[in-house]
Amino acid sequence: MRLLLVEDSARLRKSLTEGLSRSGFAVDSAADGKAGLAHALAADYDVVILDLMLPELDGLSVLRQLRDAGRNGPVLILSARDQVADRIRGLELGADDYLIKPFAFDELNARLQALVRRRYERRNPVIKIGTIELNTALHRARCADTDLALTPNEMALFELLALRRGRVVSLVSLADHLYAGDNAVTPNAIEAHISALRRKLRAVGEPLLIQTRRGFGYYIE
Amino acid sequence: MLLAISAVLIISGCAIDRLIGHQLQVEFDRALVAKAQTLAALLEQDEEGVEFDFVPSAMPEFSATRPDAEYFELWLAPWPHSRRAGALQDAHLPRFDDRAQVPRYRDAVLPDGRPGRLVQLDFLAALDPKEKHDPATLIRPLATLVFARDRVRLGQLSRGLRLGLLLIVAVAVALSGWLVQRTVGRSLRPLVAIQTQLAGLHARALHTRLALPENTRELAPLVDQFNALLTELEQAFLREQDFTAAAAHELRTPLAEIRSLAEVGERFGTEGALASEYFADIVAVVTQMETLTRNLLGLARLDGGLRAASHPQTTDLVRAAAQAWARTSAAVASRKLHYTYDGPSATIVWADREICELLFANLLGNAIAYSPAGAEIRVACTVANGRVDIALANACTDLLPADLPHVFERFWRKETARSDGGHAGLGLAFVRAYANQLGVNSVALLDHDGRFVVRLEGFHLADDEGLNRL
Repeated sequence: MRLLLVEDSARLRKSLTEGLSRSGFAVDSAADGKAGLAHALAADYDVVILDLMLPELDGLSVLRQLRDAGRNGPVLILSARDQVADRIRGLELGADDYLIKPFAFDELNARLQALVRRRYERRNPVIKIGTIELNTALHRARCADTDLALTPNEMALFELLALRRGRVVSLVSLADHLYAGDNAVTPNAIEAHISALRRKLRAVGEPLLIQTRRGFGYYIE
Repeated sequence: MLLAISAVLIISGCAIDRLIGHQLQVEFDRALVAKAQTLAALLEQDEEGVEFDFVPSAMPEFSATRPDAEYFELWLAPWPHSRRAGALQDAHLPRFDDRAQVPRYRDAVLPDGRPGRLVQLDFLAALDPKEKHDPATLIRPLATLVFARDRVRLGQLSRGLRLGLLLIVAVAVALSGWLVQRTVGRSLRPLVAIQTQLAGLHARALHTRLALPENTRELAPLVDQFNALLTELEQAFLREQDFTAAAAHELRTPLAEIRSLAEVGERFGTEGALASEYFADIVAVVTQMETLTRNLLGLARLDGGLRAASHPQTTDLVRAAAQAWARTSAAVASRKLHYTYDGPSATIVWADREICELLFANLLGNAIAYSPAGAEIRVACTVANGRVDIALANACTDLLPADLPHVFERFWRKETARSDGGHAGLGLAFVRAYANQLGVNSVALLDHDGRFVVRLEGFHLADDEGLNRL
């Protein structure tokens, strides 16, 4: 899943980028409102994490301009403003969630997972596909009682295909959602991850779970 | 008040009752003695002796047949028996044992059982004026006449008057009570209206103001004074709220940074160079919070007068400003800021030197922090009438006239994002606090070139003229 973190505190930006990346998200970040808006308009992020008090352009203006531009992806406001009026204003402008600083990293992670599931219209973090049980909250895939030892990239691919089950996901879309903006990724790299994922699925008796639609992308039935 | 009026009315009623009672008694006694004297006049002495010329038919009031009969009894030394009214029959009237030249009165029960009053006259019988008497040989016996009549009517009249008075007093007390209550109620109505308004005041309704009740101009100063106090209180309350919110906000972001660094580091086992970086970040944030806390405590001490009292002495303001510049600007030498001074080469004022240095350090620190690179920071000093004013001007890019009332507020920064953790917006708050301690006025303005200027007005020149103004 690909996130955009718009936060002016360099230390917070650094630690959250590190933590969220290690949690399986592809994280882009911006230090001010203008840069954040440019990023958000340029790519289709699964969630935008938006601070309110930003230099150049404040968070609420970024949110308003995003919605005006027809970008309806989930936005989580991360702010030191704790007044009810601030929260109401943010939610009224189209934010999907509001988290007050300081916050627990686990709570942020859980809320982001929930927003991603909501985006793909899934309330339950556990997705069952054939004999495979995929837990998007724990980033864990199991077959019967056996854990599939997936790398973060393989897990992210699997989750995205599972969340978009029944729909073909293009290579470009996979790259957009799985890799941060500054990481160059080639189609071959994605195909390599898909190949590795299929191999591990085959080992547990699910060789045909991920299908290929030539010229379009991959999908799970 | 009602009790006092009631007491006055009751005491007055009693006094009137006693006065009327006394007057009635006097009139009664006067009639009593007049009648007794009439009877006494009937006793006449001539050559043949003393004769009591009483004709019962002429004075039927002494008859036994009358229910309102009157009584008299007359004693004369030569007489073996007293002469009496017919109504007295065999009874006697009481008399005083001794003799007196004036009439004497007493209350007594009449022979028929009625309450009565009697008068006793001790007198000599009148001499017949038609005859000549030899005073040497004439013996004049002393007569004693006691006349009594009932005092039933007097008692009835007295009781009637007393009852009437009692009724009048009762009505007067009731009327007074009603009038007092009405008058006091009317007088207190504006105060009650104000009290009702006051009851509606609380910490969350400080924007409300007292309304002056109708026709109560005399209360206007009180209401105005109270409303002015409410305005001050509301402003102080709002400042306190803003301060608390700003302080909380200032602390939330560094706390979030620390928590995030610590949790991510702990969760993902950040090691090596990155771990060191995280720890260094945490130390930096904590240091920043320490500075903020120290500054807030410093301001609180200045507010509460806990800082040591200022010790005025001769202080060269020009030198203090230059020294503060030398210390403060060293840290930002790369920004190539220029310090210029316009004014006398030395300006000796009567002020606490240490506070002056702290004031200039904060003032210049603020100017340095917000001036663009290469800008001029200009200090000007003017002296007039023993008074010294200092003005510090620096270029600024985004301040508006509407911002000026806020620049001395704690945590106020033009940039609402507060991204720069090194500046919490307390520098000019310190400037004002130090200026207040020095008794100097601090003013912020934008000059015609759009530069931000802080004026410190009213230092006292350390010469005779300046010191005389202290």
